[in-house]
Amino acid sequence: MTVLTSETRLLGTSVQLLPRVNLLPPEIAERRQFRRIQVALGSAVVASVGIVGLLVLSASHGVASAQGDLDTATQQKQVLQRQVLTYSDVTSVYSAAAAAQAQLTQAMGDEVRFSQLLNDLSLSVPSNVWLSNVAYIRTPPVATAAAAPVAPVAAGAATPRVAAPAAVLSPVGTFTVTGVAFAHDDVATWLESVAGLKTYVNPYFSTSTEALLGTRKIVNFSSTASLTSAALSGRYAKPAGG
Amino acid sequence: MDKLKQWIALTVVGVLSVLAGGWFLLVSPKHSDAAALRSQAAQQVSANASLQTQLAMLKAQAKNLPAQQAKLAAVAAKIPDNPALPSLVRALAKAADQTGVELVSLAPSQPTPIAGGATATAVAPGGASTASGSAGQLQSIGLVLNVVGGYFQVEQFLDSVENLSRAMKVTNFVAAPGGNPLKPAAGTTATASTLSTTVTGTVYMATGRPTTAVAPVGK
Repeated sequence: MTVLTSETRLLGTSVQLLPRVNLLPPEIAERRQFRRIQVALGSAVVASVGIVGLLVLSASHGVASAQGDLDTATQQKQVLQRQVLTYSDVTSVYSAAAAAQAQLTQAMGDEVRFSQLLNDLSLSVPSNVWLSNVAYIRTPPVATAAAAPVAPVAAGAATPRVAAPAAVLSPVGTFTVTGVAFAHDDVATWLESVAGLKTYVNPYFSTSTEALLGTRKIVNFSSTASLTSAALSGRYAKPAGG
Repeated sequence: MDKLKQWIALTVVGVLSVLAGGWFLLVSPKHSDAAALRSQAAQQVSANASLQTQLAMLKAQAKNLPAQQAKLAAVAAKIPDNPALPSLVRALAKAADQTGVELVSLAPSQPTPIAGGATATAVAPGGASTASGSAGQLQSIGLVLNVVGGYFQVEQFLDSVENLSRAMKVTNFVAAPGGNPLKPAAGTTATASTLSTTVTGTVYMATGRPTTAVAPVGK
């Protein structure tokens, strides 16, 4: 048992209160206090469960939200794929056109326009020289990068064009001519003329022989040259779509 | 007090257990799930963006489709899917007539698959998901022509041959004085201005070409 007394002083007066007597046995009070603590502790456990529940709820909401985003994106993907499929003919036509262009380039990429060579030739044959036989023979591309030999200088002629490295102007064919001239000097002029054309290198002659045509002295000659890659037309070498 | 401390300790342990168990067993897996889903969604959005880009490009390409089809048809005319010899003969004869040379002989060889020229394929501009196109197996047909005419007539004939609707690549050209064997009595026998010319060339065909909006030519 406890006895409680209290005295309050207010504005200089004192009020004497009656003593409060707590008859509750301390064991019961302790038990009550313990019960309250137990309740508080239990509440803490429940609160922790609640917190976990809230966290789970929040995480579930996050999962649902992410799933919703994924579903939306997947749905959009399907729509886009359906739209792309409607353009499948565009894709196939472009693919076919690109493949066909590549095939055309493969077939005709190394074309030489002989009509232009003949035209250039007709404009470059010097006077006093007549061609009787003309032959252009294409050769397969040379893989080696070694420089072509330097053409010897024709008798009495100026230095002909020196062969360029094969990597720059690889030979794509040979050019063979037999013809008639009035003199050896005319043959030299012919070689210079050939050397002046960008599509030929290594002009060379194998014979230049004097003969008589009736009473007129002439020279029969035979010459060769290499066709360079400058002779390629390039008409079909454009990239696909170009 | 000991009992109280035990209760408090037990409660603390219980709370911590609930929090830890709840976190590791319930919350964290859901967070992982959500993160995985968000990652998938982000990847999908990125894929969709590329699909949208592809779609926009396809729409732009669709506007140019007739030009592509015309190009395809032009190439198909240059390299048909069959030998198309009748149309080739007619085209060469017409070129000879127009340029004034005598087309004395034509000798085609059998089609030969081009070594290293397997089925030409190309991927159309349009991205990874576009199909690759095939133009079929390229084959060459050798052709030897003998024509008789003047130098400039032969030159014009070659020019016509080089500009046929069908692609023909001249590989060799040999010209020598010679007359028209068909008109020896007409005074066109071998003269200095008449050349007998042998033109060796190649035309092409592509077998196994898919029929993509292009009709075969020159049957």
